[in-house]
Amino acid sequence: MRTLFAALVVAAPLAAQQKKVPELWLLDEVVQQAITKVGPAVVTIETFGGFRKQLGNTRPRPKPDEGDEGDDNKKKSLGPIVMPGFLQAQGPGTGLIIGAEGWVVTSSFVLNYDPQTILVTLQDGRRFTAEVRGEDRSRGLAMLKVKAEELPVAEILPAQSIEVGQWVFALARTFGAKRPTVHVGVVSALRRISGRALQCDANTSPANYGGPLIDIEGRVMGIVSPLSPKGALAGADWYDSGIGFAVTLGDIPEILEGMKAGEVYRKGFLGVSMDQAHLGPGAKIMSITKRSPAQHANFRKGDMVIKVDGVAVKHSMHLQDLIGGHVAGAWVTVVVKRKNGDEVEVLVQLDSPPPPKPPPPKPPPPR
Amino acid sequence: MAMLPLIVLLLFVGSLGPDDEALAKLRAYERSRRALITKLAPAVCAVMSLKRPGGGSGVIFSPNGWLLTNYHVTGKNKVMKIGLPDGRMYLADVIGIDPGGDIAVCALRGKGNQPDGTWPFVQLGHSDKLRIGGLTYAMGNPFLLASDFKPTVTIGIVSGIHRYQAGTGPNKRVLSYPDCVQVDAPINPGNSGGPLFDENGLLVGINGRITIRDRGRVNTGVGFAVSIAQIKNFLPGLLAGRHTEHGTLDGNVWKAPDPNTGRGEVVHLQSCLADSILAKAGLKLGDLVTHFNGLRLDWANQLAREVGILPAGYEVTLGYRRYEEQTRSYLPEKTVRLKLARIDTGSKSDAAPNVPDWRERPDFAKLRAAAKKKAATKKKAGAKKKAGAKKSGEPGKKSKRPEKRDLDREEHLFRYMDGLMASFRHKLAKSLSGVAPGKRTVSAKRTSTDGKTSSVVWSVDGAEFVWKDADVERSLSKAEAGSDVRSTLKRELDLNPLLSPSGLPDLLKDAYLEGGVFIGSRVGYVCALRGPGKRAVFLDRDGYFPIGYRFRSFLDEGIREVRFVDFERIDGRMFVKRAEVRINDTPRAVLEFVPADGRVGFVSTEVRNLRMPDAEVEKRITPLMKSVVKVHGASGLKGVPSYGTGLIVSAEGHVLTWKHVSLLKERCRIVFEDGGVHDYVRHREYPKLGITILRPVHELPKNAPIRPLELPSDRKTYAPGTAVLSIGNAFKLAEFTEPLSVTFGVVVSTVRSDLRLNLRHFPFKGDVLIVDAPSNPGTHGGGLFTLDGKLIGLLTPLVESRETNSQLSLAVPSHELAAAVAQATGRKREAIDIAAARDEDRRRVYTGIKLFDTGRRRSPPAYIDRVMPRSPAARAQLRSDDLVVRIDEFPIRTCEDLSRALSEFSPGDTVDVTFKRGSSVSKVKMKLEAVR
Repeated sequence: MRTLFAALVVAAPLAAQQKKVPELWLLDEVVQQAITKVGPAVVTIETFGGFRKQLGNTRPRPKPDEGDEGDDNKKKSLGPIVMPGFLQAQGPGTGLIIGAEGWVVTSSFVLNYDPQTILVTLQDGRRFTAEVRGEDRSRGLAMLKVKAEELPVAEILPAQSIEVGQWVFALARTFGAKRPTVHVGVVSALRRISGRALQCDANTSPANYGGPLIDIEGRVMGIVSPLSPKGALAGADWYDSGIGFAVTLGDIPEILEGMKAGEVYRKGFLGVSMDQAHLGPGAKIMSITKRSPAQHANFRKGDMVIKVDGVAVKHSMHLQDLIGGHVAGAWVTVVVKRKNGDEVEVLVQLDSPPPPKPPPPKPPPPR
Repeated sequence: MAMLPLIVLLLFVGSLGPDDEALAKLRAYERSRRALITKLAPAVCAVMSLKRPGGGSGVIFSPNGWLLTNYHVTGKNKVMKIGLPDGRMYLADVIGIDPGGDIAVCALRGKGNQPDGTWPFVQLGHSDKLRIGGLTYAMGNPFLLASDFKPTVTIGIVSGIHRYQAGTGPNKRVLSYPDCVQVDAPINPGNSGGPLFDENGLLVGINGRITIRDRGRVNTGVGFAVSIAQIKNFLPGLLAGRHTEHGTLDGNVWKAPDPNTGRGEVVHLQSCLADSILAKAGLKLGDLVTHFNGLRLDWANQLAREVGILPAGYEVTLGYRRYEEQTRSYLPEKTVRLKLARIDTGSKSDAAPNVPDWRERPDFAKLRAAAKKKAATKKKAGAKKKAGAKKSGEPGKKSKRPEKRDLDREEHLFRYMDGLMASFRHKLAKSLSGVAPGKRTVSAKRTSTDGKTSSVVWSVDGAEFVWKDADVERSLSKAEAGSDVRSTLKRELDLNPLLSPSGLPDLLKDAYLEGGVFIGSRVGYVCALRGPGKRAVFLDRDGYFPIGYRFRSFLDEGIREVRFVDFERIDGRMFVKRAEVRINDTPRAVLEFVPADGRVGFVSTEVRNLRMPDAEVEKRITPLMKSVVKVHGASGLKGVPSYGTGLIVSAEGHVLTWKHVSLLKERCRIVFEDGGVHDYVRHREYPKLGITILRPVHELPKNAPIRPLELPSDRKTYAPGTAVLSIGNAFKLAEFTEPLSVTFGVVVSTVRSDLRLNLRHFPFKGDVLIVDAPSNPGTHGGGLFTLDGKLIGLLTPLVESRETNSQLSLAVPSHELAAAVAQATGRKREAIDIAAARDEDRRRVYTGIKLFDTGRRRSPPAYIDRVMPRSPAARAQLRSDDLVVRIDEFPIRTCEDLSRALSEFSPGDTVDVTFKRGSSVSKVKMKLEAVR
């Protein structure tokens, strides 16, 4: 007890002294070190040929009658109209070496065209052709393999040691310069997109998709990826919006290994839709998709899902999170409460979601 | 034992290198921020409507569960769904709304989620103490991302304070932001209603508005928060469940050419209605408006801002000067007092939708029983009807049924009000602590408005109360039971906090909050008692001590209101010095209290010594504001900004700016830091550099507030990650004296603009700085500075890179412009041929490569179809099916890229060709030839 006390006494005046240098100055000093440390593991990925696989989640430009901004600014916004099919350029992207024997992880965004040829360029100028080995479509990650040995590897930070408010640097080599490019921000939130990604306020765009997000000591937190809560990849309207996502790498070693072995993961799908008016606890089933795991498990309309894998379901959004965090093929135990009060525990194997239907009329945007 | 860790710790600190030391310090900052976020985040909530999808954010500011959000989030809803970071959803009633200022107050239902039954809450700060460049945190739920309701935390700096943003709707009177904080912390749709915290975690604003560009409704580095200073003015009304109204002077005051003398521009009254408050106060058209509430007015915007943050009914002073035709001069300044009129926002009543009448507490048990009975009879009647004939009624024409009374909601609201009063009583009791009950005599000098003076003495002794006013003496014990005198005396004795204060908290047991009162610069709560007599006690908004009282007095034949207008602070206690007596809202007399032993002094419960934001960054920014100027030109195009920013680059006042369509005309106007407007003319243009240099038409005055910037000519590179401040007039947010917007960022990279970025219409070809401090319309021509205030680049307009299809904020390094500026400002005599080397004619080159080009709209990769014999490519051993990926440092991804890259070279040049053959990548040298 006494030792602890002494340590506290010393730490307090030190902290007070340290406050004198404003944070932004310190940031200036620290960034360089971190970049130098991770830089060699950040690679340029160029793609050649191929056709578009999927479209981003694109939105037309704002109509003059919506939005909370003054009339003045609305009229003055002028520029290219954002159209679907026009957004993704064929420019290069970024990847991160995570295995010295030539494993490079990147965002599937970079490979969106399903290219015939993929070229990886290291910091020292060496170039390799690469092939796609595995994919995790739920996270938007792709695993590339290049034929090389003893490549520089970045250190990965355990996901549980990341905290909100930490500084983050998003590195990239998309523009091919000698030193990686860097965008600065803080961790905005943890466990977003069903626990798959952290959210940061650094500017993210195709200029750094696929690149690593690192902490001030140069340890990798995740891979910057254009995720969107809607499921599809985020479109150009999310570029540099201060809402960026990085798929955390520290908590998915088995998925990384699986991708190396050639697995293609998809998002888990149960096949229930929820009554949004029910505030919780529990999530009330409103309808069940035909031929879905939920139907096979004999869930019924009006059932209340109260537990998933032993975790009490707080509300419908929470259930979506709990299910969405799994990949297709995973087994989950679900406890439902029937209308008559019976509790039934079922082991369900999640499926991958069916192809999307034509989009329903758009709900009003959040304010 | 205790010494050991101390030594170890010191050694540890001592052994740190300079870089590690910075890292350790930054870690310490991170730790304290983490602690701050852990403390604040539980009070940040998601606010959703029960029916419609979508929603915003909010923040709880009281342990009782009251939360602030935007009016545009709640709208006219009565109940909102609240998601808290504990992952659960709660219900909250909308209490008060301020559509004019875009604020709403809600109250959470039920018990708090903390172990002691309270709610997590944040403390209100002082937005007036914010400094430009200070760190801020925005929290909220953008795009409703948080399925667990854990807020999104974004960081940024204060880009501007006291910004004025006009509202929307008819007359732009709804959702106006008259005094907002501008930040570069990312704020997005869904952040609306969420809190903005200063670096110490105090609530300084409610985020509500962003300025967007063409790409979508997302952050562009320009976010606005309603300042907490403004919200505090409306808080009493909002908590009371009112539809609060903003004040207005009801007249147009503009800075325009002097209508009387015709010389110069002055702030004067341009128009007002004949029955407006200004006309009634005696002002006439053409009068100069010089002061508002003691603030000297230089710009009309100041007035709009000051008035905009005040509620209707607020009393203000206005200084004005009238022009006299005979002497052809302005008369000395006169001051008038007036009460702000109400802005008409189209609301019929001043109560928020469906807030009950607080004056009478319904008996809910009885009402419920009645409702049950009614429902039962209705059911019976309905059943009977069904059995009978078919309902006759026109289809499509619904009968308007009166809305069913929601007893649950009403009861929750009354519970809210009881909780509110309980918390006020508690705080009031605290402010009265140490006041001894018992015998007390209070005397004051009374000066009535007609100039008569007399003395007033109140003396209390047990049950006896004597009120002596001039010669009239009235005593409670002698007054007849049931008489007017008795009831008046009783009310005075009960309510006057200076007589028997210890009874006040008890008296407020059956009271409700009626609204706000404005006494001098103080804002107070009107705590009204239920029952007859219009009795109320006024409590200070921040300190919760009494600042006045009112009741219906039969002796005065009206409502008698006593307002404590002046206090003196002795030994930490507030003693009333002066009070104003009003009868039916008309000032009648002033009471000057005579200091005496045993008089009542209040303790303010206001939280003082809050930590104020750091001014370190602002200190560096302030001098730069003399070097960066606002440029107003004309673009001649609708939708294209006619404004920009410029840098002062010489003592004569030369201005360096980006060559932009806003400089379409020869002339433009430049606004200096002091708001001075100067005519400028195009001096020189350097199209290859993309810059224009302007010079003043007339020589600048000697004392012009300018600080010329030095453009270093030595080539210095700024590594990625160098912290920078960008200063420019984004979206023309700053006018006249208002400081320009400052945003923080880092150098993202230094990249050849022609080689790597694939830009459209970008004149400058060479190394440019990419920064992540956002460029916006109007920032072009602004400065990019290091944190030490060194100019490192000139901001260009926002450009779109075809390489990534993302928008980039670029700056041309200052050393690239140094020569041109030196030439244009006349510091170097000899003409410099800038960028002449890039001008020479090029002949087309021949490689002998025939590409596999399909000629489709999207150019395919540069696969070699055929190599002509004896051509440079053949000599370089290139073969059919090779994929060309680089020519020197030019990336080649498509056939188009290859021809573009080759156009940069001349015959005879030797280039490195990088190509892919099979799965290997190799590089060869190729000597280019001329086209035969």
